[in-house]
Amino acid sequence: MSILINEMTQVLIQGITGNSGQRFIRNMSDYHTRPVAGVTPGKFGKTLDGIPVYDTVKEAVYHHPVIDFSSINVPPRFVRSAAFEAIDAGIKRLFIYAERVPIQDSLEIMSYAEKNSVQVIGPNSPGIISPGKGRIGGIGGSVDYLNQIFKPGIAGVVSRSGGMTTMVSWLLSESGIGQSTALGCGGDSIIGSPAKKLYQDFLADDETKVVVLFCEVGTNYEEDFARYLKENGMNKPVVAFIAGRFTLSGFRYGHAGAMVEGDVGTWQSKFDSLRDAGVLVAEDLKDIAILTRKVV
Amino acid sequence: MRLFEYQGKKLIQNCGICIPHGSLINRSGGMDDLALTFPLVMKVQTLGPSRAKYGGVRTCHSLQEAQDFLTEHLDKEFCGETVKSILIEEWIPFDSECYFALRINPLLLCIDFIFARNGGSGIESKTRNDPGLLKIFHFDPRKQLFLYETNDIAKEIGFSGDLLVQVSQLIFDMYSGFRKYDAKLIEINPVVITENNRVYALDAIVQLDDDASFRQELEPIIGPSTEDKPRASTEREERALMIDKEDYRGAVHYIDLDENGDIGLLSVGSGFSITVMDILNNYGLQPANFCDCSGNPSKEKVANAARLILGIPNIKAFLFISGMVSQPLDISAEGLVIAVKEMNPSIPIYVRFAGNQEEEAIRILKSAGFINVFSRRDSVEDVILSVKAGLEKEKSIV
Repeated sequence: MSILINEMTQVLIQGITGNSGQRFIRNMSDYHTRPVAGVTPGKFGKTLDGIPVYDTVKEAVYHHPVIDFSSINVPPRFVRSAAFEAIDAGIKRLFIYAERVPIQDSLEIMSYAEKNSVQVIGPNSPGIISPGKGRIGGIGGSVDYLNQIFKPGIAGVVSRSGGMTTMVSWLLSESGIGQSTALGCGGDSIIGSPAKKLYQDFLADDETKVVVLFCEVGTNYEEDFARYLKENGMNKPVVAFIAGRFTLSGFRYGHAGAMVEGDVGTWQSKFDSLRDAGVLVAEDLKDIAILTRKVV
Repeated sequence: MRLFEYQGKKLIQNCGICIPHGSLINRSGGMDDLALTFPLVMKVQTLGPSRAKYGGVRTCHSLQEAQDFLTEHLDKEFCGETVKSILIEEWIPFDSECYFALRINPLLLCIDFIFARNGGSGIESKTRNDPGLLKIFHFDPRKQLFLYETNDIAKEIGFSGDLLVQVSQLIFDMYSGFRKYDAKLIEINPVVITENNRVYALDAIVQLDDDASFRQELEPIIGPSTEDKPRASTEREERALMIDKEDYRGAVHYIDLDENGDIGLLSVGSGFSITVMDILNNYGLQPANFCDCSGNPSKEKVANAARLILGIPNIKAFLFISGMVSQPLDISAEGLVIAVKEMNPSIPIYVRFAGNQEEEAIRILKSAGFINVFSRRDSVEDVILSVKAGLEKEKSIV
């Protein structure tokens, strides 16, 4: 098993005629996942690499009733409308690639998604991969390269950073620990599936035996996850690395979410609450695999 | 983006909220043309907390007192910031003061309305000791807000009669502004009630969402915008912005950290870059800068970023480092070779290439004469230890 995607996953690409949309067609179809349709308003009737393009999501869903995931590849300012369109058309999983989506737009998207039992990955996610089964997005790049990094296995990997999803998976693979599903949950300050949500998904997956998190300073998702663990118990072990101990408050280090504001989102607060909840917190990169080995 | 008090006040005034009459002074003779009535209130315009506590707010009873305040603070340092302007306002005597705030709640996916009937300075510590002083209402961002709802809120906070109507309208206007201007936070502390039952906002902290700036036209309301960080940009940061703008391929995020830092740092990916900063610090090395150059940059862009960093005056080593990246590293290698050949730096250059096209990248560097070149086989920690050993060896020779 795996979470979110498997060998059968069928994907719609919103914004399929754009740069990232076209790139994703290849990224996904090279790696077991089927993009079955695309949407770009005004481009009905076109085909790209054999994939039909529709004007609206409703139309795409009518012709392809089994769409499991919509990959939203539109610029930040159009993300809100695209996400609402996919939710209204009945698609139950969304992947948002764009970064720096306006916060109030993300807030509305996530609130609407929650009400409609839709799961959102992102914004600002590089993708989701279940080694050997499929991927959404371009995570891992060329198949040749990603096969060096990702191996099938027992670790669920969740990262706030795209690049670190790959790095952490590689460190695990090198010490013989493969991944059930590895994903970038998104680097924006509001994301659809933070650690708490994904942990619950991993709990329901038999294959996953340990969850490995790469966290960054900023926001309070980690503190919230720690509270959840304390209240509900840690039914699968969690290993975490928290980046940004030496970042300065008020500065933006690349990711929109990675900013300490006042006393919210500090490294210390995340470290203390995760450790207090029983999470094994690595203080060096190389400790991530060492600690993971210990618990599996 | 955090607004200065005067900007935040203009913004909420634009939404219909009453603020004291005032003027902004940004030069020493700035008060000369104003018809002043005393007492009046003078406030330094800085972004840090607790201005009142450190003497940045004064009620002045005479022109002399006001002049003294101006001389004392204008263009001077105040809690680490330079005071570029001073707000001069009518003095409003009041009977009671409250705390009103709106903020995004990412966990509950709503907008929080937060109130304390007794506000004023020191509210943070008061409510920390007694969280019951705060009343919080969660509002669904997809709903339209109605006046009847703010009436409910005003009643629940403890207002009645004409004040209930006024406070309700203020909350309503505050929320409209919050949505209209893509705010992350609007905090009015205090909202005051005067003897004859008028309601004023005496201070305002407003934070806007930079990622929504494409749909905002704020300059006509609040003047030129401020920067989204606690200090002004350095010259190198400005140059990094130019490097990023001039070439659409890839992205450069640059921050100057410590002018006495040992290491000029160029790394790939923002999550990885802050991780490397941490590990450098863990091993007793100070990065002079943060620079993430990722997203498939061209060799010219990598070269420009490397030139910028090699030009930091006090660094003792330059480190280019990648985690496991999918962008082709041979292109970064070509960029590094261009910059290093041109600058011919006297400090040692360390490079760790891990990721796509790593072998080719390493070959390019070695044939260009680079010595300290590492691969994915060398852990990030080990590479940093090598840098450290190199610096210590250098020190012992000197």
